[in-house]
Amino acid sequence: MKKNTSHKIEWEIISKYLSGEMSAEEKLTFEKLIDSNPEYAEIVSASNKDLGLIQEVNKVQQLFNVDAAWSAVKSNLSNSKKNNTLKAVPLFSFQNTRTLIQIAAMLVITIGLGLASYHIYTDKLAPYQSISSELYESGKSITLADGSIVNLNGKSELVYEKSFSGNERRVKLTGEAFFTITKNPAKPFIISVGNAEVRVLGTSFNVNASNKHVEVLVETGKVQFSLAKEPNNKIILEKGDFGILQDDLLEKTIQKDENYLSWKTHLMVFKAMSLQDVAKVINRTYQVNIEFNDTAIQNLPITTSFNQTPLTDVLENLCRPHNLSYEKNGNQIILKKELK
Amino acid sequence: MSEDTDTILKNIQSGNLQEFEKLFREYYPLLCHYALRFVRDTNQSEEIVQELFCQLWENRKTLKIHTSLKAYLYKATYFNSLQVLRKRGVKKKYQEYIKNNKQENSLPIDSVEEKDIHNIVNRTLTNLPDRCSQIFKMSRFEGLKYQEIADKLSISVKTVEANMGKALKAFRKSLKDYIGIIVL
Repeated sequence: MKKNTSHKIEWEIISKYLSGEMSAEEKLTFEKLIDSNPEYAEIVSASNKDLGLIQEVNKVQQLFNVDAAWSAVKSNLSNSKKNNTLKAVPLFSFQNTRTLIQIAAMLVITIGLGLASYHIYTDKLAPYQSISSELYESGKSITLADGSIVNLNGKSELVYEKSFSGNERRVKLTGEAFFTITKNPAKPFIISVGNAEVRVLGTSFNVNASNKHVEVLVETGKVQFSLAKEPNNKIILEKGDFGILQDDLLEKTIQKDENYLSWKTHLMVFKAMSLQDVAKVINRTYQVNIEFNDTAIQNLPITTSFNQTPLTDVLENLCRPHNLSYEKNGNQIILKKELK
Repeated sequence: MSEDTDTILKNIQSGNLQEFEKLFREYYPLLCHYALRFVRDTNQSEEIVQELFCQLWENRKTLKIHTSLKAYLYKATYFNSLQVLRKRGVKKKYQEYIKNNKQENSLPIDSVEEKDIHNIVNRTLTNLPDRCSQIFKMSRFEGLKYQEIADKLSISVKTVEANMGKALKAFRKSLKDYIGIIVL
């Protein structure tokens, strides 16, 4: 067995490397270091495997919702209270227990009334809440009352119930979002979006709506996609399926665009794609707006891929081989031909 | 976590609901995952395990376990799963098997040995300082970039880096023996 050398190891750097947070230059230097040091390389590869395992463990846990299950089981337990051995330890000893009881009763009533009115107010009078994102903002996410997670793309809005109290979980979406829905067969999750309705029991999928056009891409599980006004006009989408609703027509097809979810995954793959199309993907992924000051460069063919790469490194990598430069001003980016 | 079966069981038998909940939370995903292997239906596997725990609570007084609690839970899950399959009928089972076999790859499961890996990961995560595990989760589970995490928590990217390194090191330490088996 080798000796534990972890005190010499720079974990921050390994982590940075494995999280894809390094710039191209840093990465190159680091990879050289790994190449020259087999022990280091071993640790990096083991750590990479660790991260994979941790991710899988997390996925399994996400697959089964312990909280929901526990509340289901708990309500089914018979005589759960009878044998509870918990005993209250008195904090103060009042000589007159009656006074204590009176005070306690008053407190209970006051707090109870307060809580009750608060709940009535928040749940009954204002049961809905909304979250929205600005034009150049993505990656906003929210965890709903049932544990479901919604990632919003830019310029989108989600209206949802604070505590899904009815027999279904209903939300309303404008724009685009990726849903990871907690399984609950008893309470279907329904998304009203444009003139469509997307109904699921528990799964993950992307919904993108823009005027009169709704798209659904399913990552796991099954999704029912229908017209809001005719629930029977529906299609069932499964893993990998891509559903489109256009002019009241539902269509099931396959999404060939590998970069469709790049706004969420930050993973982009370009295979001999024109720079103009590449720019569209980048715009969508990083919520920016790329323009060209020279139409000649728009058709340059690009073949490369980026995984969780910071925007500036992406631009750098695109510009360098083609002798271009870029100017970034907030969310506006201009690509130029280098005049040298 | 091979805690003393006797103590846990005794606590549960005396009606300690918290202890029971702890046990449930620890084993629920693992047992569901295990049942899924046989019944190939996430809903059904959840039903099996929920029912198992309900029975466990109901029969707690008369329950006698000769092996470890963990072994008991797995075995019970196994038998209950088989019962479900039997009810479904062999032919249907075969059809479902074929049908679901394709989906199998999509379940992020088979490479994870359910035994202790979940516990190791969870324990390591809970043993990290709160901030550190929060940062780790944001980066690895929510897929946020370092910069985004730094912005959200109003800390510097350097701090994020330091905490990520700390978490990675802790995991390497706790998973060392486990991975060793796989790699070598």
